[in-house]
This record gives sequence, C-alpha cells and structure tokens, in this order.
Amino acid sequence: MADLAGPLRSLRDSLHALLIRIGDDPGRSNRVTGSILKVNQLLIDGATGDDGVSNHLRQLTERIAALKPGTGGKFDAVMGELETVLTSLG
Amino acid sequence: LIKNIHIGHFIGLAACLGLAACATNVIRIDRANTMTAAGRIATDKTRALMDDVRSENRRFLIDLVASDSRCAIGKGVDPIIVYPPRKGLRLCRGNAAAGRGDFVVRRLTKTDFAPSLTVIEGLVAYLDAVDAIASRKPLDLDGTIGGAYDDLQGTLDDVATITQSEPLLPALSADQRNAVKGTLDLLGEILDQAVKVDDLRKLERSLNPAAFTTNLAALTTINGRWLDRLDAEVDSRKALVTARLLRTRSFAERRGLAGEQLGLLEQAEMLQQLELQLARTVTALDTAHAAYVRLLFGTGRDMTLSEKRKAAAITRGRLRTALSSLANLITAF
Repeated sequence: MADLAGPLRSLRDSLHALLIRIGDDPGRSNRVTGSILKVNQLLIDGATGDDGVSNHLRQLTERIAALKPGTGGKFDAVMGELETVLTSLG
Repeated sequence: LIKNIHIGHFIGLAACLGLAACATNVIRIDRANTMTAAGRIATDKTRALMDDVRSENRRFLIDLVASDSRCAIGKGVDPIIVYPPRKGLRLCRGNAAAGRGDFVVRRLTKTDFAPSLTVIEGLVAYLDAVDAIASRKPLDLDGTIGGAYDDLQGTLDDVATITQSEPLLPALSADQRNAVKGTLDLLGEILDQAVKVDDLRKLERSLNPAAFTTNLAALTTINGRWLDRLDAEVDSRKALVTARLLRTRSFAERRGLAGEQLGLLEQAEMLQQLELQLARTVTALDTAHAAYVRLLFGTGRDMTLSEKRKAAAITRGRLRTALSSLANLITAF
C-alpha cells in the first residue's frame, strides 16, 4: 500500500480547474466542490492504496481535465466513477 | 575596577590558552549554545505552525457554515459533509447521522495539539540538559526535565485513549505516539543516568547521540502532518470561495470574494516556502548537534586546538547562514 498524496493532489488541481470551467451551474458546482473537500479530507487522513487505485486516480484526473462545459452525460459518468473511488478510500 | 577586570580576564584567558582541556571546554560550550539556540528556533517555528493550523481550521469552519445553512457548529457539534453529494445543492447533512463516504470537519482544540507540543517541550528540555552538562551547571531534574518527562508520559496515556475513542485522526495519532515515545525515552535516559552518576561528564558520555537525530525526524514528521492539514484546509476554502464567486452577481460581494480568493492563492504559494523553511531549521539543528557530538564522542577529541577553532568557526558560519535565512522568512499566515 502506497501513500496516495501525489495522485490526490493532481486530482485536486484538475477538479479546481473543472470548477472554474463549470461556471455558475449550481448543481454541478456543488458536486465538484464536494469532491474537492473529500480529496482534502483523504489527504488529512493520509489515505493509502495499491497501484490499481493510484492508476485509476491518475486516469480520472486526465478524464476530468478533458471534460468540457455542456457535456452533461460525460460529466455525470466521470464524476459518478470518481465518487465511487473516493468513497471506497474512506 | 576596570583595570582589575581586565587583569582578571587576561589571567583567565592566559590560563585557558595554556590548557587544551579548557579550550575544548570553551568550544564545547560554544557549540552547545549554538545548538540550543538552533533548537529553540526549530521548536518555536513548529509552535507557530500549529497556531496557523488552528486559525485556518477556524476560517474553514466559518466559510463552511456561511456556504450552507445545514453546516452547523456548536459544542460537540461538527459539520458533516455529505459524500457523494446529493441533488438539492446541500453540502452538509444537518442533524442526521453520517452515511458511508460522509466525513466530519472537526474543530481543532488544544487537545489535538497537546501531543505535538509535549514533544517540542521534551526536545527543549533535552537541549537545556545538554546545555547544562556542557556548561557544568546543575541539572534541573525535578523542574524542566522531570516536568517534561511527566507531561510526555501523561500525553502517551492520553494518545492511547484518543486513538481508541477517536477514529478521525488515525494517521496523526500514530505519528504522535511514536514521537512522544521517542522523546520520552530520550529524557528517561538522562533522568536514569543522572541519578546513577555523580559526575556530569560521565552522564555526557552515556548519552546516545543517535537518539536525538531520531527525535528530530519525529519533529519533521509532526511538521509535515500539520503542513498537510494546513494545505488541505486552505485548498478547501479556495473551493468554497470559488464556487460562491462563480454564482454571485453583486459587484460588492464579488469584490470581497475575489479578494479572499486571491489571498488564498497567495497562502497556498507561501505554504511551499514555509515547508522549506521548517525543513531548513531542522537541518540546521541537526548539523549543530552533529558537530557537537563529533567534538564529544568522535575524532574531534583528537584534533589540535587550531583545528578545533577552525571547526567551531565553520559550524558557527553554517548556523549563521541558516538562521539569517529564517530571519528573512515572510510570515505566510
């Protein structure tokens, strides 16, 4: 089990950028904000995981970076997957 | 009177210059003093960091409560963040019990900082003891050292209780427990030896120089944990402020939020500097301690007087550089 601080910090940066791209959509903004707070909580707790989790987080970071405003279906799919992973970590 | 003082100084200086042991003692005291000075700076910086963490935790809670009316704080009440977020634009769960994935934003209290603070007090007590030993002053066994030892023992008991009853701080508690235990052993060694030997020089020889380095590593870990916490709470506030700013139309409100957002970005940048500065203070202390240990236990004992003076000057120079960079430190928070 390895420290997930690196992948979690990159993910966090990607989520902050997404928050700005979303603009004033309150529903989505709330969802992204919640995930940023969750990532920070995991960083405080010193979350750990295996290589599989680490790679999954990196992959999600890239997919979040590629999300464009207005892509409703994709947004829900990526965020749903992210929420499942983060919930499994603690 | 002035003339007599000068004569006294001259005789003392002449006596010292004539005796290698006296010169060694002068260098030893000099190094012990620089080490205790570096130690105090390193421990003071950690204390200041803990103050910053507490202030930031407070600001984060205020921003959270301002963001959602269900995020409440009170005596024994901490906001529970709903995760994954539900529809209805709520961040907090209100009075309901936490579900799987949900997390609590805890208000940090003095109790949370107690283990780290006692480790710092323990390290300061150790440095004071080294200072007393090197200067051939009586050891304050019942006061500083004994007090710090008792506090550490009490904290170790408390941390064991906290770990059992408080699952929210598992990583921090494990580190703290190790750090407290290490410092406790260090002081215990001084206390044990002090009652066995009547000559402080024997006590000096019996100290384990590696133990202090291990405890410095504990101080670095403590700093790291608190810095991570500070970083996480600054970042969470950044998210709350950004989200609010994106939804706000009023110029006055946007102006206030934009100012806060900029301040948080600057704080995040300062954190990296703060991390470097803290690491530097611990390294300076480690270097000073290593030089002192070499003089007492290593090949330094066989050096000539001029070599010892040269070595002492190099140590002082290194410390001066590290300390002056600290003096220029911009206070981030």
